Amino acid sequence: MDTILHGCLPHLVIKILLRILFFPLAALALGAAVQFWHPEGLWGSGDDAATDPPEETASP
Amino acid sequence: MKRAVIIVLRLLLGGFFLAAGISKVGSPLGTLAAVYSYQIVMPDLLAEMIAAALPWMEILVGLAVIFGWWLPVALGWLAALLCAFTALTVQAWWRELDIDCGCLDLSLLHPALAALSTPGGAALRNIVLLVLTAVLAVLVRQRR
Repeated sequence: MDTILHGCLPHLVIKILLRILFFPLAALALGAAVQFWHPEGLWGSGDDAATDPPEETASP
Repeated sequence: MKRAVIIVLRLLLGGFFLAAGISKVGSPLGTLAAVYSYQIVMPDLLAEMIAAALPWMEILVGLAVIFGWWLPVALGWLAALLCAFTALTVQAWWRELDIDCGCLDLSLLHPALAALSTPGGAALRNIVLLVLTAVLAVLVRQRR
């Protein structure tokens, strides 16, 4: 019991927590890094619709 | 047989998430616009963090499911993301928001699949993916 409480269990809990948190933390780090170096997106396209003002429709 | 089903489900679910992440990672402003279009009250910083991290989360989880890295954890995140997406699309459907779900555009495969980008279609698709994730988790657990 002592081994579980003071030895293996905290180690196991930390290991499981690290595995669970790996995905969101890595995603946040990658997202922040890409935003810093490529604020226009990784391949710099696809945002035209979101950034450009709507085109005026020509009247007939 | 069970092994083949596991591989097919891993490729299907992981590939879907990987493609969805790759489609978003090229347009951070488009992803941010999609986050705002759901009209959920949240701080701007949180919306920007979600828009920046979500595509990478989908890519990482998709790769982990395809290659079997930390599979139980990856499947847990897959299910968590699908639950969140389902809740968001269902509320958009309920509030009759006329929005594009901001998810993977399947109309490139077939024009009829464009219906899966509406809130209702995306909610149904997410529920199907959630069921497939549960099946995969059970099969993986049985094999251990």
